[in-house]
Amino acid sequence: MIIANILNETEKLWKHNRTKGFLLLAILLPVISAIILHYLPNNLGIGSNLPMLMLRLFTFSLLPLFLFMSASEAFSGEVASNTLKLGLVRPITRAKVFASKVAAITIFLAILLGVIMITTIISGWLVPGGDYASGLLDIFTAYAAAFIPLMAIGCVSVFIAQFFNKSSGALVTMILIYTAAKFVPFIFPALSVWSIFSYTNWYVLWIGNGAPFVKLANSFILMLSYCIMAYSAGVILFEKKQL
Amino acid sequence: MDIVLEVNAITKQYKNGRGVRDIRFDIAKGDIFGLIGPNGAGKTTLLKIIIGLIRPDHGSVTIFGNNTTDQFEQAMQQVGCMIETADAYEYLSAYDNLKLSARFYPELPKTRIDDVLEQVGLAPYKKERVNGFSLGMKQRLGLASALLSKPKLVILDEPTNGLDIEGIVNFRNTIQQLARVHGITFLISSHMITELSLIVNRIGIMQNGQMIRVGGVDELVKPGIRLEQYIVSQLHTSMEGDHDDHRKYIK
Repeated sequence: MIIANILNETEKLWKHNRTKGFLLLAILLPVISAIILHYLPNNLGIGSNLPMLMLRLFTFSLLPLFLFMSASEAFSGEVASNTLKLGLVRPITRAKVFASKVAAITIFLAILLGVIMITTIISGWLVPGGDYASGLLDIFTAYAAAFIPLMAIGCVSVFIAQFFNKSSGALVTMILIYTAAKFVPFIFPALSVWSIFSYTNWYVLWIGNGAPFVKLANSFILMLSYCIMAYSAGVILFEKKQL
Repeated sequence: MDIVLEVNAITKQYKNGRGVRDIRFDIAKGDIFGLIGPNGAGKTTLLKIIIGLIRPDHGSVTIFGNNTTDQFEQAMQQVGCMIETADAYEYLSAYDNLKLSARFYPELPKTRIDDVLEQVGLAPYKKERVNGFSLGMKQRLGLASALLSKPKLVILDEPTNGLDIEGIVNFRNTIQQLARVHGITFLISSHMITELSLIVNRIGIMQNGQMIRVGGVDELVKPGIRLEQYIVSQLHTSMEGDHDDHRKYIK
């Protein structure tokens, strides 16, 4: 039954114009950036960094926004539109409904990252000095590593969504928390180590020579812990939801 | 007598004092059971508890021998339902809405969605998005969704809301035919007593969160008295504070 519901949730997410819009952005932004760089003198010296530039842009703002919107719509939005119960009265447990919603969001996150990576590599051929053939492994590693913190942010978003019965309230709260979490470390730098939202550029540690294994392992375990805690708390709240 | 649904001492109290108290009844195979009562009697709360949308404070629900608390998937395998309002994903077509539900029943033939849309009269609109549907059309889609899996127990909450006269007659004929020909069991809640009295063979009358009467229509209603007259008289009697004398459970 969980496979059936993952297909359902994936289809519902895909049928939203928002998801198609993000996919379009994932294709157009790298291409437009490459075209602009092509016409700039010496492409401002960033031609060879287009994949990382795009990854930075997307992981900092657009992909978290996609996660916030998808999580708030999949849970709070469906409560508001009375459609959440449509899945809950079928022969499937709430825990599986929750898991399939999270899985669908994760699948689209992976698809978006993959599309951004492929588009930036291809559009790199438009930029002088943008032949990335030699750095493909680094690019792939960076994009794969970027998935982990985004996944954790997705789980936290899903947890936050359980407190709201309207998607707008959930979305605004997530954006405010994210914005605050990005600014607070400027005042209290020590907090950034513990904030999951500070790890959106975690992929940087993986490229080139990379960071020491212990540091990577520590931060990975921290993110995994966030995933487990947010997922578990989210599923408990979802199980208790009275519709 | 095969018992399809058993409701055992269900109680759910909200902070505002409303809810349902100590509800007990069962429904046998082939019954068309009418859950009747005025607005706010607790009918929807009870139905939501039965299908697991609300957790009761006490009591249990058993469907086809499976307790809905710990055997939910098995219990709901042969249940179709439409609760409160016939909501659907508005950004999807009628067909796509049913396709989502059909994935839970891989044994269904591929033509089933078309068949059920034909049955409720929505076949000409199957590719249209639901956001353009009238309330009556959404209600028909809700009924189609409830019948899609060829369930053995169908639970409907105010199913004739928004239907025009033709829709109500079609609905009534569909229910009677499914019960008679296919032996499907129905639990239908409504405050429209006249409409319900035409199709039910057993009733449960609810008022102020309590079940004040349960039984077969033939057992409860004396010859020469119409069912709706009987129900209204029971509601009046109950309102006069005569609860204790009248609360009895008739199997």
